[in-house]
Amino acid sequence: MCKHVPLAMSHVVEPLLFDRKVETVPSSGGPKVLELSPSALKDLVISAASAQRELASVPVEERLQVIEHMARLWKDKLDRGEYEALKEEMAASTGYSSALMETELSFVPAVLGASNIRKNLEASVQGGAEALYRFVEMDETEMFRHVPIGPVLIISSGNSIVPTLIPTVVSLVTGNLTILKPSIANYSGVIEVFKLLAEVPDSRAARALRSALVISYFGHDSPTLKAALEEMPLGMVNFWGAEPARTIVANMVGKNRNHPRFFVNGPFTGMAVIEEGVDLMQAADDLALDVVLYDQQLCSSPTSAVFIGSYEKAKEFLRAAGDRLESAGMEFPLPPDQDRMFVLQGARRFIQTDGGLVLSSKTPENPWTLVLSKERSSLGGLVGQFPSFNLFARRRFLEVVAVPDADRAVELLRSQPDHPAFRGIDGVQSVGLAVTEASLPRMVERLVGAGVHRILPLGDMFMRGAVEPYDGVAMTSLFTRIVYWRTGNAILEGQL
Amino acid sequence: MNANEIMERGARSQLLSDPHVKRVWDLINGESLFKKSSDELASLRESLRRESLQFFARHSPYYVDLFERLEIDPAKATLRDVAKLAIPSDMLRGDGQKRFLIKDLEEGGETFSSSGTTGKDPVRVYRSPVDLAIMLKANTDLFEHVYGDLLKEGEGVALFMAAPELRYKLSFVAFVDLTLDKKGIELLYGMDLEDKSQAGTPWQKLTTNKENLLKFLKSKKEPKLFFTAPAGVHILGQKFDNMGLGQRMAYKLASGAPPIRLGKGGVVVTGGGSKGFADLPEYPQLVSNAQKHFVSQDLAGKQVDTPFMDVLGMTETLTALIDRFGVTDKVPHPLSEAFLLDPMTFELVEEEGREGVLGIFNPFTTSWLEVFYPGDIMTCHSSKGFYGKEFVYKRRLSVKEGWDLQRACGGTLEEMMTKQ
Repeated sequence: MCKHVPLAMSHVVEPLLFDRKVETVPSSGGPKVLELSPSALKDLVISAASAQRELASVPVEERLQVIEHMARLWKDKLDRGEYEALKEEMAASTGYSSALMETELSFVPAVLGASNIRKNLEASVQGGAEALYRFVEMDETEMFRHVPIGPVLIISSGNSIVPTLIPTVVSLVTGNLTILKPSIANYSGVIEVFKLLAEVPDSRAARALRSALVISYFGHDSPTLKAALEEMPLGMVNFWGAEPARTIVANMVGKNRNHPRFFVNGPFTGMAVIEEGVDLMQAADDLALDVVLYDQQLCSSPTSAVFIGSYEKAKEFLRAAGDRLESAGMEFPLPPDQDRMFVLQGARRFIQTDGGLVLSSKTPENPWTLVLSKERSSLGGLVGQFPSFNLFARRRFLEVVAVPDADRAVELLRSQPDHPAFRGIDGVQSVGLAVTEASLPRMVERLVGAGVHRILPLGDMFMRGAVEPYDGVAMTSLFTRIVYWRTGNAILEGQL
Repeated sequence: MNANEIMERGARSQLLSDPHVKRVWDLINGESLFKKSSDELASLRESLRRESLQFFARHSPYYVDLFERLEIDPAKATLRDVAKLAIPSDMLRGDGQKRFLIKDLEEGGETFSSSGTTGKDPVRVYRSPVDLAIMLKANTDLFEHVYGDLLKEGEGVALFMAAPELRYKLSFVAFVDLTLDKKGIELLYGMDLEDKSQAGTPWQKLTTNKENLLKFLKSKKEPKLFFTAPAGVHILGQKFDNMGLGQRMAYKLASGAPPIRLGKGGVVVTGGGSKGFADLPEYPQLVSNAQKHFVSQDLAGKQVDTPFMDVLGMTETLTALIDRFGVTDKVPHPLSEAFLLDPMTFELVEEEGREGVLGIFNPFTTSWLEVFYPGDIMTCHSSKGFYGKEFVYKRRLSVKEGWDLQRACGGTLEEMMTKQ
């Protein structure tokens, strides 16, 4: 079971709804966890049309201004130290260091920033952000208007705030009644962010957004969740997570006669590619930062690396990366844990006795481990002997495989989902590159065909650009459908 | 194989032509090591440590490569180097030992496995003929030393609350069986192994052999040696405590117990861990609860609190650590190196009283470099005994799996995630 019992459990976890009182029932998520009752959620879903109609009648810019105001409120409170307790609570519930949680909380204003969201909408909505509010001409006599697909149910990501905020904000801004189910671990943080909707200056946009947002925890065997997935007239279910929950949820959605859209943001990981010839010190710095931030728990975090070049040079790089991890990791110290260290030490020794070269930290608060292997991974038998030391449990742990050329590097990348030590991932989402200028174009070409979603400079792998798609898809397209309006047919002559 | 056959086959081992194995053999079978001072023994262990590593380098290219990668010079190896080589016992599950076995491994030995009560693949360790002989002699010597006297040939009777089939599976059972066989002491098995097709580990498929139990209880032989897992003593005590007056009288008429009279030199020997019983009391409490159900005399015939000895003898160690409750904390064999590792850094713990993960290096094991840590947290303190220090068991580390759920991108519906 979840080791880190969230502090949130010390107080009651209950749904967040604005200006409404609805029925709640105890949840299997914990003794003090309340969730919406089936009938309460059903009533909300049925009222979606009017909530969405009201929101759709508010210009997009006004919606964005409300979100922007939330960002400012958050920043002010953060600066005044009002989120200190939340930071500690989140650190305890997620297992991340307090320092990382502080960093995480500081990212929130950027996620809520109107200019970033506007950029995203402009880049991903055909016709631009205005097309969310009115018909926009795409060609002579042909117009698009993007309308909400909702109600939307988001079963969001696990243990940090930002990945949960992103789809929720996009779904809301695009006009959907949005039902968000956070995890117990990130519940408090997510609630703190959206509570700010009640503190923004009163406006039609603010009221419309409040009416369109419902946040509730649902236990895995919740009758409400089951009814929502199997029966309620949802337009979209967005699931963030891995097996076996993904298939269970998919099967439930499959039974729904309303046929909601179903989109999974599955478990991915990241890989670093370093080439001999680049500034190895800089690459080591960049890699250390990527490994330490979020302790490799983001889908973009590098959990493996390839070094294209000689084994001896790779060894040199490994030592430099170890030095950098030693200093970068101490900026985000983790609470030491004997049991976890016992497993980690066992894994390190397993790899050593299996032929791998292991460099590791001696500081329990910063338990980094680097493994250097020649041409093939040394982690093959690891999970067989230490089943609990799987990808999701490994922190600040990275194997660098030295390979002679880029083809072998891409081969390793492609085979990652089949690697026993990486069981559970769908593939490599993000590739962080530190390769020479000369190799870059060919490397990128190879990666385009290798199934990755993001190609980035090493060191910036965790950063999301405002216009970025998610897992290969523009997020707005998940939450909207296009109404096509043609005012005349003459222009189409000869087109089909 | 019985004890005599094991000793004879050990003496015929081809490996005895190797100077290291010959030296080990002579030390184990020679004059009592317990007469040497702790300093002498420490110096002996240091030279054996280096010879042992050199032996493995001679007999397996695997170790040459391993020592090179870990920057260990066998001829100068320190205890710190040995600590670097220690592997977790989990690595010996299934076929894990294979990679560590020497090239010219002698066949005809025995393979022992752990009881499997953890629900994982059992630890499996092969013992060659010469290793078996060393195991038999070394454990017998250590047992007698902690017991406080030599077990006299053919005198006394022992009851082991295990089934005879386990002699060829579990090392603790083998150790007891062979030691008593070597001394010609009658050993009764107090349990039967039920239908093997049933689910569960061997320890969960045992039923009482009432005939042997009664035979032991009614026997007039002295001393009586009672071997069991700690849970066995606990359950027996509970059974006696819960007997009504009538039932107690009837049992006493049939067997003479309770209490169980162990006679002069009688002792209760526990070993083998908790065997899946999660609610056992702490060992001192367990002993205190149980002592009222056993009666013993010292060798002079004076009634004493029944002595309890505990054997920490896991599958992966050729020799055990044994204590005598209230007299001697756990001590290893004189040639075995027991050390503590800091649970956070895995550096050697030098200070007395500080908790550490117990590591064991047995330089007299010849089939594989036997240096490992099973996951027991212990402390040590200096002592006037042969080893110069003694070890106290604290607790066992457990593997928690909470981080399974901590993925940032995904991992919600957490209860579903744990039901794989």
